[in-house]
Amino acid sequence: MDREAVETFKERAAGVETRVLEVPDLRAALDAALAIAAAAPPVALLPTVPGGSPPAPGPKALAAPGLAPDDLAYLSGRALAAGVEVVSQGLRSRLAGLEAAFTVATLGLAETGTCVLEGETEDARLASMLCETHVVGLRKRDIVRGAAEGLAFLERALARENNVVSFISGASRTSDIERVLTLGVHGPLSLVALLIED
Amino acid sequence: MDHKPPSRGRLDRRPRDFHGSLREALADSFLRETLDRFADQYKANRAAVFEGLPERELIARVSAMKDGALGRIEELYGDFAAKARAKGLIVHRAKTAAEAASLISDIATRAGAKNVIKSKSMTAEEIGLNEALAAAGCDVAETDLGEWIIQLRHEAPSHMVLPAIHLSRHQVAEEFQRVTKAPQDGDIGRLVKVARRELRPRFAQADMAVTGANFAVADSGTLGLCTNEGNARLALTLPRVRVSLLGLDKLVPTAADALSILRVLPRNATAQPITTYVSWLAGATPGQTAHAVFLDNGRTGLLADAKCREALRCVRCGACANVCPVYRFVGGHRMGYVYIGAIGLILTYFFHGKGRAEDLIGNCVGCEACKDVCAAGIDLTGIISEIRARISDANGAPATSTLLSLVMPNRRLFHGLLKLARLAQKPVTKGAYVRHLPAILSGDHGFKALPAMADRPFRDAWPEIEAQDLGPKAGPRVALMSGCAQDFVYPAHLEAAVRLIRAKGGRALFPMDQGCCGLPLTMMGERKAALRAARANLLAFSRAAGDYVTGLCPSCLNQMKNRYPALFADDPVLGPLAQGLARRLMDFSSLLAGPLGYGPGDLSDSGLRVAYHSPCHLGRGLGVTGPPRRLVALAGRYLPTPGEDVCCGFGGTYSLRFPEISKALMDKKLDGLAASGADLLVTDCPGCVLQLGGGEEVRDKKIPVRHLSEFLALNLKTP
Ligand code: SF4
Ligand code: SF4
Repeated sequence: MDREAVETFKERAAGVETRVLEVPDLRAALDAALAIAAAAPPVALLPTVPGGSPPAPGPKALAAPGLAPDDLAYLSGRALAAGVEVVSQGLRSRLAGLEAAFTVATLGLAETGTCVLEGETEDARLASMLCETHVVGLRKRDIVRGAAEGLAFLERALARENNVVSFISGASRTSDIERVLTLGVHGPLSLVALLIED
Repeated sequence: MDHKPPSRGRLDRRPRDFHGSLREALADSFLRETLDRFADQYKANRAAVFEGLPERELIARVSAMKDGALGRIEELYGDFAAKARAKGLIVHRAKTAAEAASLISDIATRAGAKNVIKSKSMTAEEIGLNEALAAAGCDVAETDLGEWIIQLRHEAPSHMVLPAIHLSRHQVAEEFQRVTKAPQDGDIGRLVKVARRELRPRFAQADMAVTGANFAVADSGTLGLCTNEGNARLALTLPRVRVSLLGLDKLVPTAADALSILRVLPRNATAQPITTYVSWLAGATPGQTAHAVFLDNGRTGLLADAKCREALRCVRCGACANVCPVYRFVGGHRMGYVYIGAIGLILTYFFHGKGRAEDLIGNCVGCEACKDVCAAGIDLTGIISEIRARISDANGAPATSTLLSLVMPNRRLFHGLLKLARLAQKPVTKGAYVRHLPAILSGDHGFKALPAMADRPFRDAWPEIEAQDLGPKAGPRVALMSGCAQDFVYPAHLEAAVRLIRAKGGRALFPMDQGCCGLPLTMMGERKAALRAARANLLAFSRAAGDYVTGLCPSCLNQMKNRYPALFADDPVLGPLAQGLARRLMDFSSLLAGPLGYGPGDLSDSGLRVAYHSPCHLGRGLGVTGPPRRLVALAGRYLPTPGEDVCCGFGGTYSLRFPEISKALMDKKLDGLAASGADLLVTDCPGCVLQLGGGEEVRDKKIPVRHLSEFLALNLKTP
């Protein structure tokens, strides 16, 4: 683990309004994501047909596509107790929005506080855009200094067929009206990076 | 509402009355204030985001990489197409804008796509895609917030990165009120939420998405895309058909090359270390039909154009508009057609034709601020001059310009005329300024007093001046380039320079057969005349002895040092002479602070608070910023003022052609000066002295403006 890179990551991520938390392992990260979803204000659901009204509110939801079956089982058990719905697939039916989403990054780029998500499925991409809070799990040992260090990874990833790689640095933002920075234009209103120790 | 929508719509981008439209823009106080604030903040934020990084090196890497890629663009296109096709992407190539537009509408028709969403793409603007899709029966929604706003208003973008920067929150609220049929206030957070709510159904219903791309990585068939809002990420995911439209110039060999651009692009564009989202799509994605359309539309033609091809290095960061003093005053609708800023002037000529570029190209004052900041190190000012020359060659220059172009390279004739002009001005001069302007120059041109021609030009006084000091010298021999302005209007500046050279044991030389450096002719697009003037001058200085060549007009020096070598690059005789001259040439302040050794103790303290204006061609052209400020501090209290390096608006004949803009630039400077509490403004260019001194002359509280040479000579301890 490159400690200096981890420290730089924390500092730069904070610089783009990413909240950074530290957790011991993946299960703890799932707990944290669940807690964030449970504590979130109810999502402002959006209409999905022009001129239509938003759907009726349901229970709070946490999207968590792409988890290993045992991790998903663990999360679902915890979520049941917390009264939170876990959505692991079929995100197309949730275009009106949901409270939070949890996905795991493959790499962190310290220089820019960037989470790199690789091999994203449609569900993973949608989850990260439809939620109001995007929670990204990132292992500390996967944090490298900058894009130059990440290059070998990127080259390998892009050589693969039909691969989608995304660099995400902060929440969806715009400065299009009078150049005032505003978060949450089409995607998440906030980004949380959970740095995983092991 | 005090703000009128600009006169340019999507279908009629070019205002009919260009000067009228400039005046309208200048009168638009919201636009002026917004762009002013933007310019100041951009500068500070950009400096901060590059801090600790080797900015020049990063830019040099981009420019070398792009040159390499452009040199083998066909090969890269072939590689990309092969790799991407193997990964399921359907790759097309379009020769013209019309071809690309119909290609994309055909894709929509064949797919039965009715609802189309777009993420921001300047290339789509270039080909008029929205109109084409609408004609094919599609309902098109822009999803980038700024693009959506201007789509609702039926306008064109006024900035390549911030398309709606010309609009206030109230105008946006008004528009949103119309769309939602509900009252909207000017709260920006709430307005952004309106867009989130209104556009989500458009994403949900979309059959097809059209996006741009920032990179096409050849060795893996990958498209790379930068956005902040995340709209492209949604757009690329939801619809069953996606189309990426991009210029051939977006091809790069490898991911490493794309990353080299990514290190500069967001920093230069919006002073961000990176955009929020960077998406890399290697080939198609499961469940979608994915197309890439590569556009030529003049690009391969530009590639074959040795003098201008480096314009294709452009990565569309928009910085050349951000720093452009003219953009700052008139906005993007008058500083471009589709593409905006310095690169906009250039690409309009190559992509949209001479007719559209004619008015625009004259807009540039030649300050080089764009060239200095360009993410790809493009010589934007040089290419603008080249285009100006081509347009004027093709059109036959207007009568005044042709007359001047005949006269200026002919030193005797020109100087004779200047002397005549002095006689002609007699009845109207009063002291050092022309009091009542002749009719042809009044009206728009009355914003500054024009200086009177000197009674005796420097060249006529030279034999006497030379005779005063013929003894042996220990110091360097310095050949003086007088420049037309100093020779005929400000000979006192040159006399002061001679005193300063002599005070340190140097010898001043004045080659009598020197003439105009050629820059004013270049600015008028008079290529042949400029070349004749340059040749005459080059020969005069090459014949003259002298360890150094210097002058008091940085525009002349910049022309001689940075343009002559390129001008004569193919000439076996003049080429080496031009390089030799460039080596001997040193700006005046560097000469004083360096070889002549001016330092503490040589000058007495004037006791004045002195502000400094950095001339464009000195600060940026010759890259000299430290020495003049250090010299000022030797004889006064140097008082830094904001925007010291922003153009004063003179630009030679520019102030005659675009008096509205010239005045706006000047007023901004002088207002800042008045607020600073300075006793004196020092600068080191006769054009700036003419502009700013003339401007002060018509103000109530006049702050004197002096050339550096005069200021220093006045405070010499040993006169
Ligand atoms: S040289 Fe100056 S005025 Fe001309 S385009 Fe560049 S920044 Fe604008
Ligand atoms: S010309 Fe240079 S500064 Fe202007 S947009 Fe292109 S890369 Fe940026």
